[in-house]
Amino acid sequence: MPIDYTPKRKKPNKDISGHHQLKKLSRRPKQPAIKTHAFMSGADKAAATPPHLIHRVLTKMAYGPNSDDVAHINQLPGSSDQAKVMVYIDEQLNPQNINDAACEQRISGANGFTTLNKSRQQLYQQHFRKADGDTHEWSVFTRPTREVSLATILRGIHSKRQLVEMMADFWHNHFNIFNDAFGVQPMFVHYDRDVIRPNVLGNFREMLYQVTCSTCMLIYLNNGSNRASAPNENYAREVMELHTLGADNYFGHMDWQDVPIDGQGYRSGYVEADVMEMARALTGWSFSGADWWDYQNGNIATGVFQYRDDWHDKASKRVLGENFTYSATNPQRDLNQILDLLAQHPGTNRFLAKKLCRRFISDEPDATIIEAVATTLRQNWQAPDQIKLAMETLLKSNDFLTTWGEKIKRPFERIIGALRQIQYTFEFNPNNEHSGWHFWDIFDTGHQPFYWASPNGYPDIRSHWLGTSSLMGTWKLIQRMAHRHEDYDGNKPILNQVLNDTFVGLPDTNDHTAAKLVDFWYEKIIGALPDAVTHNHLADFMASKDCTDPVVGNHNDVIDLNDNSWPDKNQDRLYDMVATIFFTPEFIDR
Amino acid sequence: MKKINRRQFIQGTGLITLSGLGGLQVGMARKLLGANGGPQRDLLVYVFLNGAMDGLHMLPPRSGADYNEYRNTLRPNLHIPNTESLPLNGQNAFGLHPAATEMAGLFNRNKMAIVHATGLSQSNRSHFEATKYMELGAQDLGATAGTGWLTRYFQSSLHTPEDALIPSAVPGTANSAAFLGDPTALAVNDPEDFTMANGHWAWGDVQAEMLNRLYENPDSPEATVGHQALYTSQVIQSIDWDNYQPGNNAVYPDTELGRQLKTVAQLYRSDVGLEVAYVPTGGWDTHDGQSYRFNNLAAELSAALSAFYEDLHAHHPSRFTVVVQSEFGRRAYQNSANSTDHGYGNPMFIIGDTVNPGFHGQFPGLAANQLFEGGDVNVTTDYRDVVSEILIKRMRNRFLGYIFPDYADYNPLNIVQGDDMTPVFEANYDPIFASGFD
Repeated sequence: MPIDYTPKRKKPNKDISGHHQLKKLSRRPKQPAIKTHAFMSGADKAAATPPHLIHRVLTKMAYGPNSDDVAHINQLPGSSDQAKVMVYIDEQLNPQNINDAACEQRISGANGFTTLNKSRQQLYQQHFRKADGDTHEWSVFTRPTREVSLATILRGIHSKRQLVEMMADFWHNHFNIFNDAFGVQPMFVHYDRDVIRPNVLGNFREMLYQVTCSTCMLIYLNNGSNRASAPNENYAREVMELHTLGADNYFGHMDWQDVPIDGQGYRSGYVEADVMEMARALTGWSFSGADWWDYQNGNIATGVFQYRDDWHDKASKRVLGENFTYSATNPQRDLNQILDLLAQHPGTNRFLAKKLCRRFISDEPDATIIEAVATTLRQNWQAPDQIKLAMETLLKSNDFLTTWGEKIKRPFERIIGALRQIQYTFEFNPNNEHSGWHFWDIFDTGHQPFYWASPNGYPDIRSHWLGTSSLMGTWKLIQRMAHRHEDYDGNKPILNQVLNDTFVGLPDTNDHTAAKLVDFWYEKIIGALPDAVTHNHLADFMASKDCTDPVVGNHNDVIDLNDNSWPDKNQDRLYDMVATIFFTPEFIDR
Repeated sequence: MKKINRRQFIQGTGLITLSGLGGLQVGMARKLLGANGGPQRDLLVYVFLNGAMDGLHMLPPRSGADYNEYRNTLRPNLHIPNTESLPLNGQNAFGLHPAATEMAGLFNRNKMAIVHATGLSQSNRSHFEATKYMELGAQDLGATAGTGWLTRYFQSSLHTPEDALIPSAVPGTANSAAFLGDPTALAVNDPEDFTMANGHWAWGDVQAEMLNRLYENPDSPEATVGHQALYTSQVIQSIDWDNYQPGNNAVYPDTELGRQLKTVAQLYRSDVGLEVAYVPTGGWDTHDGQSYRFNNLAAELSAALSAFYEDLHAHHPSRFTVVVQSEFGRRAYQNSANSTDHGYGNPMFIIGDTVNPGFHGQFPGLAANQLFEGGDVNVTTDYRDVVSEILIKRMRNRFLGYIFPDYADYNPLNIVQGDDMTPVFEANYDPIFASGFD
């Protein structure tokens, strides 16, 4: 039967598959029937009263504002918020100058973290495979990745190097590793600590090389067993599609000679044949332990990168129209030259720039800012601070500083944002079973860091995250944490600083009315005052008395926040009111 | 047409009241369930095997030139011998993977149709691209106007009752792009947990009531999702999930897919107006360790599909259709890990009482000159022909050009029973205007 053969986006000039191109359809459906979504086209409440600049900036380049960071920016030099924000951006771009000892203390051995300083070989031998090749038992096997997850939560809440955390999240998703893929769990400390984090504001080419050689990626995308006799394309394809050139520059089954050459002399995209050639170039890039023989005859597997010359395809490879030849004296030269080509390619830099702008500015960023960031990346592709320079271009742009609500916070960003605001003090000690409960609850949000199954990383567009289940999971997690004590009986101290922040922000106890408490906390969390409807619903709740038979009191009556006695439970009601602000549609904007 | 703003309905029934999640309300919601005397619509269940299921491993050749090519040339270390593959009625060209015993049973009892060599009209070996094309229902993404194919299905469905409570569901934490543009599509992972029950013992109930009030008048997609979550959570809590009795004493396997399909069955049988369930399931990207991994995957898939069939057949015979599909097939020849890389053509499995059982479509052959680009099973059937036939004959929606914008060439293979209708390929079809003329 005839097959409808509609080109994807670039029209092949050769009909390789043998199908006829039957029709070029020009019809477009109407916009999604707005009639049935009439309420969606109404004015966006949040857009009508955007938060102030400091709030916006901390929500977009950090995991959200908290009292300390807002106070820190306010005391920075400068005569305007804009000037202070510029100083803050410079600080964040130079994280080595920020003292983060208090946060680092939380992820030290003193707090139960035992694997984060182990070498790659120690991780492999003490957590992955024993000398005979058998695996360690599951709790030992997964301990390193669990510690990375808990450390990620702790750094999100407490680190002053917030941009580093946002960038680590970005690059972890760009070079995504699924932590349910067998074998990556013991080695994930190495991936996070040595591959991703040292390069988050550094050089992309260096990070690409480190990823390619990492035990985790070699396992996850199967390149560890890729050999000349029958290549495995998995990593080769994703390097081009997801890590460098991007799917926009994929020309499918076209002949490589037909790919147009761009203004700078590069083939403007890649084709199926390039994937096959790339797979051949990647043969032999492996790790100690990937082969059965690594455990035989007294051999000791170490888990470190190992180039296997006998597995490597020695023939010439042609990628993007260029030939790369094998060198016996420098056998890794062919692949390294290809990585050079990919890292400097304008398509790669545009792809990275678009993803960065999408992460920090808008789901659909403007072409001008993408081009500006891409140009910075490309001009500095060999500079050790290439990404930092690109981020400076991005963060100091009008697009970054003036936009609001063109993205939504993903669940993890909502959770950490909420925990930063209430200054959640839970220790997340890996030996504490409550840490595990927190960890497993995050799965219900659909956004557990490092648990996106596919190599493309968590989606970064609003439509993916507008799901009822994810929303409910996120709310419930915040709902629980907002009134958590050290213990579940409530005899030990509460784990938030809501009361303390209230007394600091509203020092006159006569201001502790439902109306003023609502406005104070809403403004702190949302960055603007609530509309009248929202204010009234929240104030009705805050003014309620007697939890056994609730009666709404006067919004202007003073509430004694030193008293948490039954049945009014004033403090617990305050915690729940604050938590509800995190459930408003306004909180989801970014 | 699917009524997306159900606010009037909700107000009319008092389903969301200020009394929170108390017994009265659950009682009221329960009265609503079953009020219509059973589901009004056929159910379409779309099981998507993310990662690209290897069709040649699930449905291996058993005889002839294709078998020789498969066993000796393409997969010397990976093939399923014809002494092990499960025989299927009426032919000996293909069998099923030995772990898929229940699926073989469904086929041999005439409850399953298999369509050979389906796929996108243009090959794309990227999971993400191919999946996106299928979820959005077009390879020309500009033509989708930012909506998924199931969103457009509901927009153009003239038969979906106005008062359907939960017409669509995705059992999982995240929604599928197939429902892109419809913020009311329900994604629910664990229905029993789908309620705001983590509040403080003193004030949690009042907090939940306030939350309902904050979402009374949704005015943005974000607010609509919240509104829908709170509203459907009350419907869902009124269903007795714990004491579910599957029909025919069907036993759902204790696997992710087993739980997902059980959730779908419970929702459908609870008479919430469920019409389409999209069931994403992963793990099929077998670049390495395929023999072992596929064994488990095939067994889990087979057991879950069979339980679902038995369950629904008991109470709603001939009222449901299950479609099983991947974004593409895998390479015909094995790779260095005795496994497979990405390919092209792949079988689709259609399950239900109303299928025309047996094989459909044409297998293009495995000889070197028959393979697509020398490596993949070629595509002989546009997957949209299969889906479109089900949309027309079972779901009674003929607006194919609106649902699949770059599709204009309906070629039904007679896979399911039902009356055919003349398809409408006009992509500018206006569902509201046109409804008066259908």
